[in-house]
Amino acid sequence: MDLKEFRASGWLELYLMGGCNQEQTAIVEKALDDYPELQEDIREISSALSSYANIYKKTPSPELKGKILEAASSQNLERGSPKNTSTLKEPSANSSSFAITWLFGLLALGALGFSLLQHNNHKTEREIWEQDKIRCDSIEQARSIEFALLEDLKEGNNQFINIDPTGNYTQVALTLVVNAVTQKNYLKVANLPVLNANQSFQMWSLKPDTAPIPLTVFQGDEGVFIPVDFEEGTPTYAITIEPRGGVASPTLANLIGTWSVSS
Amino acid sequence: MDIINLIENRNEKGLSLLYDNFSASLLGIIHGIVKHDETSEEILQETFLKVWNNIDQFNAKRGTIFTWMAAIARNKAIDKVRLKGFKRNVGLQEAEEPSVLPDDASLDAQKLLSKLTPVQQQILNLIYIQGHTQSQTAELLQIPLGTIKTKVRASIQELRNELKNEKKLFLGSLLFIILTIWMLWI
Repeated sequence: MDLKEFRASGWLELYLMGGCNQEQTAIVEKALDDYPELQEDIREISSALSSYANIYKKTPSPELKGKILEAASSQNLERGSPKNTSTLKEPSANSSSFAITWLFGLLALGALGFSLLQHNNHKTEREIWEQDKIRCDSIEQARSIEFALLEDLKEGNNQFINIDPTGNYTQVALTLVVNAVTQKNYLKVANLPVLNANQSFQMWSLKPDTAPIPLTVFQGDEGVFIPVDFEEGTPTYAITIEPRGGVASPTLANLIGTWSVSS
Repeated sequence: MDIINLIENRNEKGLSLLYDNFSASLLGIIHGIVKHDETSEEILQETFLKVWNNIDQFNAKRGTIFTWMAAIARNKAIDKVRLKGFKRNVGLQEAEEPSVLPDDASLDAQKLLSKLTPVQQQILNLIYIQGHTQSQTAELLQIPLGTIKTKVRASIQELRNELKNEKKLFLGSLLFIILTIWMLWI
């Protein structure tokens, strides 16, 4: 889904209204990571929702604030944090002098400008920190995926099987790593044929007296080692080129090759 | 130091500011769902204490502090309604009312709501203020789910546009005042 489609989907509005399910939430949060431009939308939609909610506001009873602050304070003490109950200073302005009023006005304008500058500086620092954190998290995540892959490839029960290509695809070099113990398969890809925009590669499990079982569909640009489905009791795996997204039964004319698994 | 920093530092001034800014709006949402004064205030208190104790879970890239708090309040209210086995039959009655504008709505509120059609107001009210899902709203109003989704997005877009216009007007006026003061000064 590109940015335009995502904006038109209405999911961001639903997400900020708290109405997304778990799956939709994951999609929206991925889009927020992928498209920093959406931060402006976030601000505007939130502002719209806040203004809308403000229309239906309901004043709490006067003692509620005290109760909440007291409860927060006692939780602070339980945690052993220093209690800080300093109150906000209310500005006082009782001057009747015209000159002083003007002076106050100018000072207020100056203070407003200064606080805006400070706010912007702080906001920028926070944004930089958040971007760095996201970058570090993604590097860490990528490293842990690579580490897990290396662990899987080092596993003692792996079988490394080279493809037996069909006539049209003799240049293809695909190695299937099969592990019947961990039930994890990987495909090492090299020299894959070029796909059209509307095509995908698809793996198959071929068992005697059974229709081919459709397995992983991929585009070939996922990396050198691609995790592919393991199918229990498969003597032969195959790979074909199919319409994008995969199909239920293979197109034999597009068979790239097969792998025979030794039992 | 902003409100979030204050709360992160366990400074109650932050909680006090948060309460002053958002308690009434949040109570409106909670009351829209549970429709019971005492329970609504209990949930509001739970919401603020959850924010106080879990501020580290707030992510500014995922929304504003208000939308985060509103989601907490809304979920707590819905959980409470489910726990008590409340019947949501009031929703249909309110949905059929021609206008959902509160009696004491300010002129600003009336101006903002005037940008929405009555149906848009009903849909947004049922979903955002009364905590119904889009599917429940579609069923209540006998409108296809796809139409509900489209109208929700369009309604929020209308509100966004209106607020943008107001912001432009405010900045223009502020600039005018500053220029006037400057001219008088020199």
